[in-house]
This record gives sequence, structure tokens and C-alpha cells, in this order.
Amino acid sequence: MDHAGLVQRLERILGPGGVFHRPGDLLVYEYDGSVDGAVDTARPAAVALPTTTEQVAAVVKLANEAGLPVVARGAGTGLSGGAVAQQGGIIISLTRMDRILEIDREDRTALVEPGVINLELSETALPEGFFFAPDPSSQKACTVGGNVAENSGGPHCLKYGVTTNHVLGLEVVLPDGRVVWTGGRAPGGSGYDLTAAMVGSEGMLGIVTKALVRLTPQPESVVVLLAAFGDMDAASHAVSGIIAAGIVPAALEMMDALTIEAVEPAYHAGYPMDAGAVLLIELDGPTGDVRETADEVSTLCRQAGATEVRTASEKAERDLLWKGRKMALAAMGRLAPNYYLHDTVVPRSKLPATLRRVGEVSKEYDLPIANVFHAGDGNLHPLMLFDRRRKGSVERVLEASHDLLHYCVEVGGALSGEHGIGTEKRDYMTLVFTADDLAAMAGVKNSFDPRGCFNPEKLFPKGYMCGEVRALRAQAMAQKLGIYAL
Amino acid sequence: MVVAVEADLGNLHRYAGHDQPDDDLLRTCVHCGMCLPTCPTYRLTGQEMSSPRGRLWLMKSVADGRLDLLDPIFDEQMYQCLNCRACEAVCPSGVHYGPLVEAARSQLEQHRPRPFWQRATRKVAMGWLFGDGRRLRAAVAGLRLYQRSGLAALLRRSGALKLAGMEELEAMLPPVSRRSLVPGAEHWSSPEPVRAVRLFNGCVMGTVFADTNRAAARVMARNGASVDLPVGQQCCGALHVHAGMMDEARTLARANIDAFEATGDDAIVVTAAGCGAALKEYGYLLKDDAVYADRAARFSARVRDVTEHLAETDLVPPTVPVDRVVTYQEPCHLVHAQRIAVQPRKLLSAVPGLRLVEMRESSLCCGSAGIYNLIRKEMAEDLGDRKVRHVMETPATEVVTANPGCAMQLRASLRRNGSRVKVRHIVEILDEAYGGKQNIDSDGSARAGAERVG
Amino acid sequence: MPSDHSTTATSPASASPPLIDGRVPGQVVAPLDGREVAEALATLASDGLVVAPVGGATALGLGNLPERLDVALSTANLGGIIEYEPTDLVISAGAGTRFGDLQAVLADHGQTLPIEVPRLADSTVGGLVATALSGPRRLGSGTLRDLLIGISVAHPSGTVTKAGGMVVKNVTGFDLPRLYHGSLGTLGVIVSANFKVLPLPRSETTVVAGFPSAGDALDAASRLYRSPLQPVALEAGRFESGWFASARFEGRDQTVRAAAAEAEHLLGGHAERFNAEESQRRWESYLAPQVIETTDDRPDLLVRCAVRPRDAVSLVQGITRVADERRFTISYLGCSMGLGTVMVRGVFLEGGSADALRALQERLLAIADHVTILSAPPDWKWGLDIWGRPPETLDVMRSLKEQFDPQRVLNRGRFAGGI
Repeated sequence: MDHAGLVQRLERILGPGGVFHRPGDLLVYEYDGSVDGAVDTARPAAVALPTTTEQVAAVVKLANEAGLPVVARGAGTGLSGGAVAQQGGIIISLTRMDRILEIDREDRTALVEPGVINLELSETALPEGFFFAPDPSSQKACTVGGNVAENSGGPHCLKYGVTTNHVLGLEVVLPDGRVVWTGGRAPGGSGYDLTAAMVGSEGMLGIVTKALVRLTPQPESVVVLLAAFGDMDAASHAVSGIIAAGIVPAALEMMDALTIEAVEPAYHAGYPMDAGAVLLIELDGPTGDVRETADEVSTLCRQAGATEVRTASEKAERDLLWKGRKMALAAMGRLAPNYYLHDTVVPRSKLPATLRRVGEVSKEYDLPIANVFHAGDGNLHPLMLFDRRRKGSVERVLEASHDLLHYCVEVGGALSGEHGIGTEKRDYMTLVFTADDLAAMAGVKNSFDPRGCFNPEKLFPKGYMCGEVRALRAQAMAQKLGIYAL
Repeated sequence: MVVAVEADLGNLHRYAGHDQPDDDLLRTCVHCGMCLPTCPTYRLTGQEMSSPRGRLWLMKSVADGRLDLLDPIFDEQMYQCLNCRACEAVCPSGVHYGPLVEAARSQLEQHRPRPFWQRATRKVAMGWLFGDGRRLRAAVAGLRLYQRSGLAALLRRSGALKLAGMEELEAMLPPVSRRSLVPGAEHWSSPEPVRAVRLFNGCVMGTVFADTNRAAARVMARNGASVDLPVGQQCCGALHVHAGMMDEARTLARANIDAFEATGDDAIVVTAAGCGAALKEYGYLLKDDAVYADRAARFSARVRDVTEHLAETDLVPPTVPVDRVVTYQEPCHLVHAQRIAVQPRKLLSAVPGLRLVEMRESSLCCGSAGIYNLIRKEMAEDLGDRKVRHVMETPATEVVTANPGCAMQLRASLRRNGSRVKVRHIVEILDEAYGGKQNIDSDGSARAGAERVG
Repeated sequence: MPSDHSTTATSPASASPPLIDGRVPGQVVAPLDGREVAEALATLASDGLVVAPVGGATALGLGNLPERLDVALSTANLGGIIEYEPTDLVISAGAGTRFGDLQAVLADHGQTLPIEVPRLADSTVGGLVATALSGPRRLGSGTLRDLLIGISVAHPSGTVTKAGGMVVKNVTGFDLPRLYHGSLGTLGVIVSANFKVLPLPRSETTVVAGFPSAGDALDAASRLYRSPLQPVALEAGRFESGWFASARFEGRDQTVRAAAAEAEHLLGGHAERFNAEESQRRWESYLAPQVIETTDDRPDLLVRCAVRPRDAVSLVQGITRVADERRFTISYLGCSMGLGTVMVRGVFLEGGSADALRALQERLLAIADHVTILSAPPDWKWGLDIWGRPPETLDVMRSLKEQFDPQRVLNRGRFAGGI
């Protein structure tokens, strides 16, 4: 099948308005939200914009026939290169499947198409007294389908959990083009939990065409505390103190001096400019609980050396405090033209040491690094600030990143808390996982997608999935065990 | 392996001449995608090339020699954009999208071969008609005659408008004000003015909506100002900038700077959000003009939208109840380009009896976007219908806005959807709450009402 | 060769081999670590034998009749806390760790893993993950699936692999821990598991109200479910010879007290309050009838039916109807509001048979989305898929099994669709 033939077949499925194939049109599908330099751009052969599940299935079948890879794409806000068609092929953009099909008060669920924007789901559920708990920083733009693919988190997942905790069932187009449901409205279906396998699988196992998600009741009351500290060590101790007291805040975020320096002049959120670190602590629940807990947290912060603690209970005040946090990335433009954002997670008790290491890396590589992150769950977001136009700056950033990732893994951490592996971090997978560990993951991939046509070149280290490596590994395993004669 | 056919990149057209998209500005975009949901054309199409991020990537591709400047896709996308600037307001990296798309259009204007008739119409419409206030007033006088003579009703009944493809255009037009507002001819004042305000007339506001400008003047006079319109002022040039006709825009800008310079630092108040946004960007438009650069920056610093101006003053509480329910449609060039969102709502909340019910997506473009609704009818209608749906979800009997383009687009969209909801400018509501024309003599004791002098 | 297996068990295994659906495995092995488990599995695979992993032996009756059973692999020697950093709110424990021991360690630090199943204390970490059983508290705290953050598993390929980690938020690689959750040991033998833990609630109270009829009890519970109150568990049903509705609240003292008072009001009827340990004991005894029989041939059944939450009340009515029709006496019924599951225990009036069980399952499948025969006399399970309807993704599941356990060494035939 040549390109013209492919386009013709696609147009038969989707109509002429549902297919892009001119070189100029394809240019804009060669990137996602990931950073230039960390993820290579790549152009698909065609882009399909289906409006129905049947169309998605038909395109997948066509891709099989043509021997082409398929890459599913939502809003393209991902930060690990997940939506880039590394081997070309067909991009299936799900942005036109953006209907909220049902909000069910009684079941406390929503049935949505994958292109629905995360925040708009919460806004639609609001009048019914509910919200969709996963709230990644890109929630104004990212889609629920993308959230499912990446198992997105957000500040509030400290209390409410990440996307996988809120997905009850999925309608999925499998790599052979079949449409199936995993999970569903009733709990306790039989067999393996394929919904669990799908969530966070980065588009490598199936394409979600409908998601049945859990809605969370709105809390009765919400309070945000701002606590300022002399340095990040003191702030980290406050974090430990709060957790040790048996308090699980809805969100627990930290910002360092560099971040405050960028944020405060831009948004006047009221962060003390002389603070070495601030914590934003959100508490929610029944009004009485929240009030008592707020007093307790306030005391704990002061005990840990807080120089100032402020409480905001009105929505406008809370929003202002949050604005500084949510727009922190934006404000970095005041400090440097470019940044590279990491997503490592370390055990909470390793936070102070890790932050010190971040400081050392910053000095070693002469690279300003701002810290603004989810302290409650140890999810760091070191922001390396640089100017792309300066020669060698990108290389320096990548080397510093390498050091930092190594360190985080050494102290028992993970490569990514919520952004995904994609192509960006695929070659770091061997820092965390052995060949055997990866073989188990490959087993899952092979059961869903034996031909490897869904989102190739993602998650597994370069060259991992090719036959030669697999054969070598099998041989090594056999030798180790000494039981099979190959 | 199936791959897309590569374009022949050996001999492509690149940016050249004046007004090229600023390369540094272009590269501040890190393609994070936060702009996508705010973009009206992306919301309607769900396609990446119709998003701000996609368009910036296309501009970057032309700069990098990966896409021909004259590739039809580039032309299509640069002009499909409504230039509503909603993307700018949410951009984490602070990309100045407006000037970039305007420069890209200017490049197309300079290098794209256009059929003769297209050039001629553009020249007449943009250059001749909007190039001089008198010509426009004369044209609108003709229109007024058309509306009042019965010819309008006749043509509507006959179906001739439909034949001529003018039906939509005709539906958009509100009843034209009885008399155009001519700079120098009228002014207003409170008995003891504490500030002088120089009103910027605007082409459409000064003609079709002249009575709205008068209402604005009355409201400002009621709040302690003397209001007049400096002679010599012209069209703001926004339409020209949006169309990439930078030279024409600069000529108009210089004329306006000249006209207002004699009035010192007095506020220049505008009733059209589109004009206001353009006037505030004269500094950027003329930044390379040795003679005008500084003067343009000073001019821009004086410009205030009427809602901005009123919200800055200590508002005299209006006393005449307006017992209606309204909803507010935010003009793109007010909320996004000028970031004015709180002030109009604050003013409406000061009106006794009035209830403001917010609609969904109040800051999403209604599809007007200057002359967009004339050249991209289908997309503009889709946006208009979406807007009407949101209006009709509220109990409002009036939509309040602050820009003539929006007013006309809303009116046409409401009518097309069979809605009887009215469209009002925010100053008309305020004027009503101050007693309207009667407020000159309404409060005999204080004599604090607006006074029309001469 | 069988003799090989016993040499891997260098420590004494449990005294008597466990009884699994009336069968006694020929041998019991109890490897000392993950590597030994993997080696044992690899050897069994090469010998074409079939193994059943055994933890606390508290739910061994769960599953289809084994297609074949040669060896029981006990995780008794894989017990113990591997890592616990209270300020990190995470814990890692060996598969053989008794859950009671784990909870005791957590409780010393004011923390907990908020799950409940019958015979919880004697259940093991590995068994709880493999069976994915859960209780009424799922409404407020979710299941172990929500708390499982990392896992280590031994495979018949002779390898031990890990997935996830010791951090609460992690998207590094596919989410295998949750795939193993509820896989009944058919993909590998769990060696250890890591969990996110929660602080113990400061206070807890349970409100129980009695009602004359099923309808009254369900109405009361529905009323409470639709109210702004947020109980962590909300049940209605038949227990200890009467119809009841019951709600459990956790949190700070004052709020719990206020919520309980409000709940009493909403439930009406004759409400009673249970605080702290009393409340816990109340739930333990409530859960006792949900036990999966493992050792005897008692002719009673435990069946779990599930529908979407909004249909739970009509499901209860349906079950009552079907029970009458099939001459099945319900001794216990627990309907979890907001979850859509109904647990039923009872006996056939005429003593029952494989045919009677099959007919009951068929009738229940007509009114519920999922029907699982959790516990039944082994003789009746012959030829029956106790998991109910085969899922439409059965082929993907079979291919998963093929990837992880091509020789079908693990729990052959016991899982859904005969996997």
C-alpha cells in the first residue's frame, strides 16, 4: 500500500475531513509537550481524527493490513514523548471524541470519551456535588484518555490517589482492532484486572475509546495553609511532622527560594520573599475536622521552625495561594528562557538528602535548579533553568539530569511519578529494572500486542524489544538456571 | 514503509522584507499545549494545526525552511485564526502570539500573489473606506437611509439579499444610530469636572453605534469628567493589523497619535475593545519608527477601555433600577488582549436591580473577530451558535458586551437561532441606571448629572 | 523429580498438607526465599507438575476445581517485614507474613492497612493480594489494589521479578502489581509486596439499626447513602436472624459523633451505637459468615453477586426471589451500598447438588453482572466455572497466562475461564 492508497483507505473510513496527510499538516503532529532535546520529534505518515469507536477500530485494522504502527494521541501535553510517532505510521488523534456521555449521581461515576478535558469533567460534575480527583498541572488542557494512558497524578493525589484509583472500566480498541470492555460499573468481574494493566500503559496495549471513571464527592470544607521556613530542611521536617501526626492533607506542596523569587513578583500570591522555603498545605473534609486539623498543622509547622503560618479558608484567598504554585512553571520565564522539568519520586524520608543533592548538582553543573514539588508524596520536580541559545547548555542539562536520576534511584526512588517513561526516560529503565523485570513487562506487551504495532519505541530501553536481545536474554537465563538445554 | 510525500524544499519561499515574525518571540513557545482548549478554532475542529501551538510551529517551520511560506496550509491557518488572543492569556511561557500571527499575515500580504479582484476589494474596503472617517460616515449614512426608507423591508421580503449573499451581513446590523458622532462636534461635562477624558470614536462605534458612544460620554460626565473627541482622529487600524496590512495600519496610527498629542496625559477612553487593544499596541506597531516610537509608547500608556476607566474612578452609585437579568459576553480583545475581566462585572454589580448570571465559556470567542465572520462564515457561525447555546442556558433577557463586532455577531447569531435575547453595550446599561438622556436634569438639587454642552 | 522439591524446603513446612477442594497435594514445599521459589517453579515446570501456592490457608476453597494438583508451595518461610519507614507511610512485607502480625507492627506506629476480610489476622500478605477479596470498608478506603505500590514475584521461567517500588506515586513501567492483584497465583508466586499505609483513624463509630423487613433496611441505607454523610462502610442485609442497616464512620471525635447522631436519625428504626473496639468487633462478627470454607464439606454456599451500585436494592430483591424459586434458604445477606455487591450465604432446602448449584448460578447470572461462587462443596463444583460468565477479553487473559506460565504450572484450571 503506497501513501496515496493509505490516504484513500483512511478517507473511506473517516471522510476527507478526518484525515491529514499533506506534509505541512503532518508537521504539527511531530511533537508533544516534551522538551526539545530530550525527546526527538518524528512525523507520522498520516493522522486520523475519528469520532466513533468503530472508526478507531477500522483505522487500527487498516494499520495492521498496511503493517504500520499506530500512536494514540490526546491533547499532546505529555512530557515524556508518549504521543510522538517515533516510527512514523498513523497517529490516531482522539480530540474529536470529547463527549461526556453520562454523569451518574447514584453510581458516582462518569462515562466519558477519551478526548474530554480533565478540568471540564470536574466542572461538569460540580453542580452534582462531585469532582474528578486526578488533577495534573495540565488539567486545563490534558484529556482523560491521556490521563489514563499516563496514569496521571497531581497535587491532590496525596489524599485521593492517582488516575488508576479512579478508573472503573474502559472500552478499548485492541491492537488487532477488536473492541472490548475491561472492568465496568459492577465490581468484581472475573479474570485478570486488565483495566489495571491498561492504565499507565502509555498507549502500548490498547486505545481507550470510553472511560468509566469514579467521581469523588466535594468536601464540605477546604482550608489552605501557607507556612514559611528559613530553609528546605526545616520545611521537610514539618512535612515529616505532619505525616507522623497521622494527618493526610489533600495536598502538601513545597517551593524553594528560587521559585518564590520567580513567582511572588509575578502573581503577588503573598509568599514571603525572604523565606527559604514555603509549604502549601490543603486540608479538606467535614468542617469541624478541617478546623481542628488546621490548628494542629499550624502548631506542627511552628514547632518545625516556621517563621509564618497563614490560613486561607475563603475561595478567593485559597485560589491566590494556589495560583503561585500552579503558575510556578510559567514564572520561570523570568529567570531563564528554558527549563527542563524532572519527575522523580523518592521516599519521603529521603527528601532532605535528595534536596541537598539537587543543590550539589546545581553547583557542579553551574545550573540554577528551582524546586517546586509534591512534598507529601516525595514527587520531586527539579526545574533546571538554562538558555538553549548558549552552546552546550542542553548537553549540560542532560548530564546533570543523568546524575540526579541516578541518585534518586539509589535512595530507593522511581524515575517518574506522573509523567511517564515514553522515549524520554526509556534508556534509564535499566537503572531501576533488571532484564528479568523488563521481560515480565514485555510479557504483558506481547499478550496484548504481539506484533508490537501500538506506540513502538516507548518505555522499553532502545533495542530491547528486538528479537536478538530477547534470544540472548533467554540464553543467559537458561545458563543461570542450568535446567534447560537450548 | 509508507511515508508521506515530502514537499520539495529546495526552492521554497522564506520570510523576507519587513514585519517578519520575531524569531526570539517564536522560540519562547515550548509547545506545552496549555493554550489548546482556549482556542476557538481548536475547540471546533480538534485539529492541531488550528491551535495556537500548531500555528506557532508552522511559523517556526517556515523560519527554519521546513515549510514554504506560500504553502496553502500556512495561508489557511494564519487566516483561520481569529486573533482573539485567548491563548496569550493562559500561556505559561508568555508567548506574544498576536504580534506573531500579525507579522505572519504581513508576510503573506507581501509575498502572496492574490487575484486582482481580491486586491481591489481589500484596497477599497480597508484602505479607502476605513482610511478616512468622513468616507465611512458617508457610507453609513447611506446604510441608515436604507434601513429607514423601507427598502430594507422590501429587499428582505423579496429574497434579493439571499441572492446577493448579503443576508447574514444584513442580519448583523443593528438599527443604525440616527446621527454619526463627529469629532469636535459634541462634548459633555459634569458641572465641576475633576478630569478630562478624550474619547476615541472608532469607525463602527462612531457611526453605527454613535448613540452608545454618547451614552458612554454621559456616564463618564456623570462621574466627574469632561468628555470630548479630538479632531483628526481616524480608524484605529486594528482591522488592518489583523489582516497583515501593516503599512496602512501605521499610517492610521501616526494620524491618531498626532490628533491626541495636544491633550497631554489625559486618558484616551475607548468603547470598543478591539480598538482599545490595537491602540494599546501602537508602541509595538511603531517600535521601529524613529520619529514615532516613543510618542506611540506614550500614547498607548494613556489608553483605557471605558470599563477600565470607570472602574478606576470612584463610581457615583446609579439610582435608577434596571430590573432585568443579563449575562456577560467577554470580548476577546478585552479579556484576553487587555486582560480586563473584573471591571465590567464590578460595574454591572453596581447597577441596582440588575442580576448578572454568568454563562458557560463566557470568554470563548463568539466568532466575530473583526471581519472574520464575513470571510470564514461557517466557522464563525459554529462559534456563534455555540455562544447562543450558552446564552440560552441562562435566564438572561439581554447579553451585555463591550465591543461592536461582538454585538453584531451576537445579534445575528441570536436571530438565526430564533432567540429574542437583546444585545447591549455595558455603558448603555449604566447610562440607563443613571437615568439616560434625562440625567442632565434629573437631579436638580445636586446638578451633578452629565451636561451636554453645545 | 519429586525428591528435588523437598530438598528446596530446608525448613519444616506446615505439619499437614492443606486440603484444596477436597484434594491433598502429594507434597508440600516451603522455599526460603524468592530465588528458591523461582527455582522450584522452574523445576516443576520442567517436570510437568502443577503447584498450588498456599499462604494462610484461609481461602483455599476459592477457585474452580484444580485440573491437577501435585505440590503445595507454602509461603510460610517468606514471612516478615522487609522494610518499614513509618514517616514514608509505606511498608514492604514478605508474602508469608501473617496479616495480623503486619497490622500489629503498623498499629505500634499509629498506622494501618484498612482492609477487611474474614479470618483477616491469619491471612497472609501474598494471599490477600492474590485473592483480591475485600469487605464493606471498600466504600471509604478502597481495596488492597489501591494501596499496592510494589511487588516481587517468582515465575516458572525461574526468574524473580519486581515491579513498582517503595514510593506512593510511580509510573515507571507497566503497572504489574495491580495486574497480579486478584490473579490467584496463576501468573507467578508473590514473594513480597509493598503497600502504602494510612494513619489509624482517631476515632470510629458504627451505627446499627434493626428493621422488620428487607425493604425497610435497604430504604434506610439508601437514604443514608444519598445524604451528605460519608460513611467508610454502609451495609444493609440479613444478619443474626434480623434485617439491619449499618454505617461506619471514621475521623476526628467530634465529627464522628455528629455523623453518628445524624445517621441514627436518618436510619430510624432501633439504632444502636458501637464505639472504637466495639465497632471493630461488630464488623468482625459481621464478616464471619463471609468465610470461604476450606477444609470441610459443609453443604452451604457463599455467593457474591455484583451490579452497578444504583441497582443494588433491586438485586437484593431479585436474589430473594431466585432463592425462593430455587428452594435456597438465605442465612446471611450483606449488601454493600455504593459498591453494588451482595454477599449471600445459605443452603438448599433439599440438601443441594451440582445441578442445583449450576441452576442457581444461571438464574443469578440473569439478574447480576457478576456472580462468583466463593465457597461450595467441591463435588458440586465439577465442571463449573465458579467465576461466572467468561470475560470478553478471555483470549488476552489466556495469552497473558501463556506469556507468564506457558506450562500451566500454577493453579491449573482454577481461574476464570479455566486458566
